[in-house]
Amino acid sequence: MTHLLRIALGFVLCAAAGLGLLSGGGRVPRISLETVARAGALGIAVTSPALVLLGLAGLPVTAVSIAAVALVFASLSLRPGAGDECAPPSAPTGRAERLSALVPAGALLVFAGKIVAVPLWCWDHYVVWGMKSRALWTGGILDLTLLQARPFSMANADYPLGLPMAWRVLTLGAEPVALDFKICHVLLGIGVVLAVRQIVRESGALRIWADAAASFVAVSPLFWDTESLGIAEMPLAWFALTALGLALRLARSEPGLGLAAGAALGFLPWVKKEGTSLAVLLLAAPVLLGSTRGLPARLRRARPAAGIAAAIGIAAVLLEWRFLPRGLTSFFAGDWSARFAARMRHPIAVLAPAGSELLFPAWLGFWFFLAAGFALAFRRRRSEALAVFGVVLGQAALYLPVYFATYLDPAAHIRASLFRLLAALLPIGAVGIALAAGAPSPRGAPEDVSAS
Amino acid sequence: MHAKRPIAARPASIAAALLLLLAAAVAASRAARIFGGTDLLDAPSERRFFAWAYRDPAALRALAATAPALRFGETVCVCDLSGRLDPGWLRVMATYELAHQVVLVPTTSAQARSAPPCRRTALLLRADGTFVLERTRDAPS
Repeated sequence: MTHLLRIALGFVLCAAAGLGLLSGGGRVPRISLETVARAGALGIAVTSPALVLLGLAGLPVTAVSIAAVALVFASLSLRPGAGDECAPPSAPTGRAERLSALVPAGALLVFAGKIVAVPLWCWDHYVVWGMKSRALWTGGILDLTLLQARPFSMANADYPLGLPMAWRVLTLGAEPVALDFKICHVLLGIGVVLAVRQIVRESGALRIWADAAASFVAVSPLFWDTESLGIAEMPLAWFALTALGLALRLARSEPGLGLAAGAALGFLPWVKKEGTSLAVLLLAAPVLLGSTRGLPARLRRARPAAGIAAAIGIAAVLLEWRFLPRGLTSFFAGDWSARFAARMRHPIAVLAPAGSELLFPAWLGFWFFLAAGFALAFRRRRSEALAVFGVVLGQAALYLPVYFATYLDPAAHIRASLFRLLAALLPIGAVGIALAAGAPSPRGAPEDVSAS
Repeated sequence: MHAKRPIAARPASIAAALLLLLAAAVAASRAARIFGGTDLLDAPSERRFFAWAYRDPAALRALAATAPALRFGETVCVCDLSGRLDPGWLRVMATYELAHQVVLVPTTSAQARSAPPCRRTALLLRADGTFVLERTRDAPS
C-alpha cells in the first residue's frame, strides 16, 4: 500500500506540473481523467530532464527537490494571462456512451490482472533499465560515472536516462523495487488508453470511436505481450501519444500549447533512441499534413514548440556524448555500409521474416484495419487521419534500413525486435483509424451524435 | 427527441460497435484465463524469449542461490571462469536473479580486470557449475 500511495503522490505532483504547462498557455483545461493523465505525462516529461540537470549541477536530488521542481512548473499556471480562458464544456454523455466506456475500463482491468499475475522475470530489459534507475542515484547524489565502466556497456549504458529518472520521480526518489515497476506499468497502460480516447474525442469524432479505439489498444500486443512492455515500448507510446494530442491541437488553432507540445516532443529522445525520429514526425505530420489550408499559420504556431523540443532533445544527446564511453555496441558496428550494400541486393529475402511478424493472430487484425482506415481517410480527404498514418508509416519505414545494416543476422534481429517496435506504434495507428472512420467531414458541420 | 444523424454516421457507429465487441470478447476470454489459472505467457515475444532465457536452469538456480549473501544495492561482477556460458545471456539472467544488485558481466578477462567494481565484489562461476563469492576488504558495506 505504501508503494501505491507513494507513486500516487509522485503522479499527483507530476500532474500539477503538467497542468501548469497546459494552462500556462492561456486556456484552463477542463478537468477529466484524460486531462489529468495528459498532465501527468507532461509533468514527467519536464521534471525528469530537469532533475537530471539539477543532479549534474551538483544539487541534491531528493523527494524535496522532486516536489520543488514539480511545483515550479505547476506555478506556470499563475503567470499573468494564464487561465484567462476556459475550455468549452463537453457535451453531456448518453447511456450508450457510458456503456461503451466500460469496455476500455474492463480491458484495463484485465491488463492489470496480467501484470499482477505474471512474475517480474519476464521483463529482462526492465531489469536493465531498472538497474540504471537504482545505480545512478544514491543518497541524493546523481552519479553517472558507473555508465563508463566497460562491463556496463553490456547493460545498454547508451540507453537514454529519461525513463530511469521517471521511475525515481514517481517513487519520490526511492529505489524502485519489483512492486514499483508493476504499479508504474499499470499507470503507463492507463495513460496510453486515456490518451487515445482523448485525442479521438478532441478531434470531434463520434464518441463511440474514442472508446472503440481505446478498447482495441488495451487488448493489443503492447498490453498483453509483457516482453514488449519490458523494453520501454509502453512509455514511448504514452509520451508519443501525449505529444501527438498536443501537436494536433497546436496545428488546429491553439498557439498557447507551444510550450507543452514542445516539452512533450522533446522528452521522446530521453525515453528511447528512436524517440528522436518519432518526435520529428509527430510535429511535422500534423503541421504539414493536418489540414489542406493555412499552412503558413500552422508553421508559425509550430515554431516555438519545435525550438523547445529541439533544446530538450539535444540535451539528451549531449548527455550521452558527455557521459558514455565511445565504442559501445551498436547495430552499426563494423563495416555497416558494406553489409547494407550486400543485403540490398536481396531486399525481399532480408525482409521476408518481417512479413511473418505481421501475420501473428496477436495483432487482432490491426494491419487490415490500418489499411482500411488509410483508404477511408484518403477517399474522404481526412487530413488529420492521414497525418497520423504518416507518423506510423514514417517511423516503421525508418526501422527497416537498420535490418540491412545491423551486425546481427537480419532475420534474427527482425524476430527479436520488429514485433514489439510495431506494437508501440499501434496506439497511434488506432488513433488514425478512429479519425478516419469517426471524425467529422472537414467540409461540413460536425456530425450530430446525440442519438448514439 | 433525438436529432437525426447523417447517414455516414450510421456505418461508422456500427463499425465502432463491432470493434468494441471484438475488444470486449478478447478481454473477457483473457479474464477467464487469468481467473482459471491457465498459462498467461502466450504472446509471441513472450514465447520466443522464454525459449532463450530458460535454456540452462541449473546455472540459474546456482546464481539464485548466491543472492542471500549479497547486499542490497551492491555492485556485483559476475564472471564465468568456465567459459561455457554466453556472456550476453549470463548478463541478462543475472540481472533477473540478482534484481536487488547492480550486475556487471565482463565479456573478456581484460574487462574484468579493468572495471573497478570487479575488483571489489565478484561472483565467479567455476567449472563444476557453482558460483563462488569473492569480496575484497575495501568492498563498500
